[in-house]
Amino acid sequence: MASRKSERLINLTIALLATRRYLTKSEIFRSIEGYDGEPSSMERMFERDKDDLRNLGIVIDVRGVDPGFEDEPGYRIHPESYSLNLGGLTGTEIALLSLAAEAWRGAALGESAHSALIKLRSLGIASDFDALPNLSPRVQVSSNAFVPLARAIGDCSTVNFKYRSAELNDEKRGLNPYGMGSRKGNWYLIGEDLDRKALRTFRLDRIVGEVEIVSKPGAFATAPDFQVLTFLDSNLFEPRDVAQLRIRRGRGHALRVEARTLSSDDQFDLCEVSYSDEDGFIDSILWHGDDIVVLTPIGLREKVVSRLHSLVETHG
Amino acid sequence: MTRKIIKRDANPALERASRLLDLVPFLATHQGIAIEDLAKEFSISTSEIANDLTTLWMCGLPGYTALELMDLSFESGFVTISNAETLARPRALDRNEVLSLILGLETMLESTSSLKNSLSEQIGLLIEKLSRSLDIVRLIQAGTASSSTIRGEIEVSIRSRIPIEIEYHSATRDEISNRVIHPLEFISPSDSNPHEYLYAFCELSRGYRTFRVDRILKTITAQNVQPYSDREDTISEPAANRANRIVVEIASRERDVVERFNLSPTSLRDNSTKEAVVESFTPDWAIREIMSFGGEVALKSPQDLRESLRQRSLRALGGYI
Repeated sequence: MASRKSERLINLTIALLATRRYLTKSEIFRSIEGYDGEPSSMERMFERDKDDLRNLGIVIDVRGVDPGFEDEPGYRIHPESYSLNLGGLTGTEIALLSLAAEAWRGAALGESAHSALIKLRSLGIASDFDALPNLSPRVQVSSNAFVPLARAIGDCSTVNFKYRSAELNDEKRGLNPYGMGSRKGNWYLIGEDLDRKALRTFRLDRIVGEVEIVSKPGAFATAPDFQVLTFLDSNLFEPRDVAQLRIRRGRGHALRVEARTLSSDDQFDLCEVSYSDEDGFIDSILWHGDDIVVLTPIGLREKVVSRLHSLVETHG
Repeated sequence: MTRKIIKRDANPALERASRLLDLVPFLATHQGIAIEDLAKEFSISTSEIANDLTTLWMCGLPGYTALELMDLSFESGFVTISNAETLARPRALDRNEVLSLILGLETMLESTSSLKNSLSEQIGLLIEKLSRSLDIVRLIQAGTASSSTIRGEIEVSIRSRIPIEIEYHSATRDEISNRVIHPLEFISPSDSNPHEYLYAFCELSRGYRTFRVDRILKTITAQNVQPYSDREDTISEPAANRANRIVVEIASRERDVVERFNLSPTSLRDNSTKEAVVESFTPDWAIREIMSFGGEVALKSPQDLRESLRQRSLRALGGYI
């Protein structure tokens, strides 16, 4: 049964692609193999087949064949819309695209990357890996939320999901998802929180269970100038302040990545480090124990000292 | 109004039709491919491929005589196709396919920008080409990931079995060390651990070790590698002993505790005492992590670690006098 149905879908695609004029339904039923039975059952068959082809991303163009008879629409598939067209691709470009697809091995979009690769290789252009250095990219997405969210973002559909709060409660959230992007090893989701009526950012690894799509496509419109990484950079990672720290020589490597060394003595380097999230920065300073001393800002210095006192007290 | 997520592969006839449409252009440019190789390319069994080919053989233009049907031959174990011009061009990429390629390219941008300028330019142009018709490129973006060039060098080392020297930032001890390793395999991120690791034999510690890939700062070609005995004393590796059972009491920030110590959220949620047991091979690391909570997490036992945490906090305070 499945085989007959697939066969009919292929024959329908071929006929609609090959025709130079629009085919009417009766022409389709008469000429294409696989349509038989009562007119009403052929009718239903055809409606389902059209939906199926559209689900495969195939665009079927529908048009009135004869202006005098509006109830007799015609159908065809335009070869330009059906087939892959990326302009001329070089062997180096094919090699880069193959690497990009490989980056998903075992990850969220692995299957899509694989089918994309099959299509690219079907172009018959030999890939030229010799032109490239040794590259092995890897997209780091382990969350099951990625695929349904990508779909909802592309379709502008509302989603529901459970989110792990700072106190470990799984809270139900309703969101119009605007976009998602990765920074510093984490994937973030941005959207309009429907209960809080405000823009919120979520971490994908804190989404618990399944993401549910709860509206039709087009439920909202994303601002035309919204750029996800630009948004993340200016809202989460924009440096808010600069601290002067004494960092013990040969230590504090994680902080040194973003640091500028001003001067050094035999034990310590005097460094300037910019930071965006003060709480996270304090965590990191405390982690380093006596390898780091905060000089300025004075507010930051006081918070660190007060937490060190608290550490001594709780462990007294 | 709740709509269930419709998965494309939930419909076997449709999934098959999709594959059949992709088979034709692939065969057209891979004439004479062995049936086993073809099955591997499409990640299905040889009998499934044989079924697919049989079905395709029945398809063609209306009329369906030998003139209109596609012509396939595969009895010899090698597949050829002809009379298939209508389907010979590969199908356009769907949205997820485009997205996968763009994000894959984006992860390469960062590491190639320092490498060869023309290459990152080429990648940028490809992204532009792919995204022309798609809005999604500005809505879903991949930022910096672990370096594609470092991973590339390690891949070569895995395949060639030639050891490689790495510069590694051990965050546990806050030290940077150079070590010669024999990489064996990459370990993918999972639900319980979002980071990618490399499993390798380490000459420095004379044992199998896992390295977090994003903390490998540099790779150095193996020719300049010194024999392992020359550098034995440069770093002292803690002996692999039993994991320490550390009991902590949590006043707030439960989610941070769960994430940093890799605990199960349910274990913490369901107990009223707010106590948790942390297992750690490296007590030094556990102390640092607990200190980072600035008093919101207290180390209850063992007593000697509790005391050394107190001493360390006092020493840190000493810097502010």
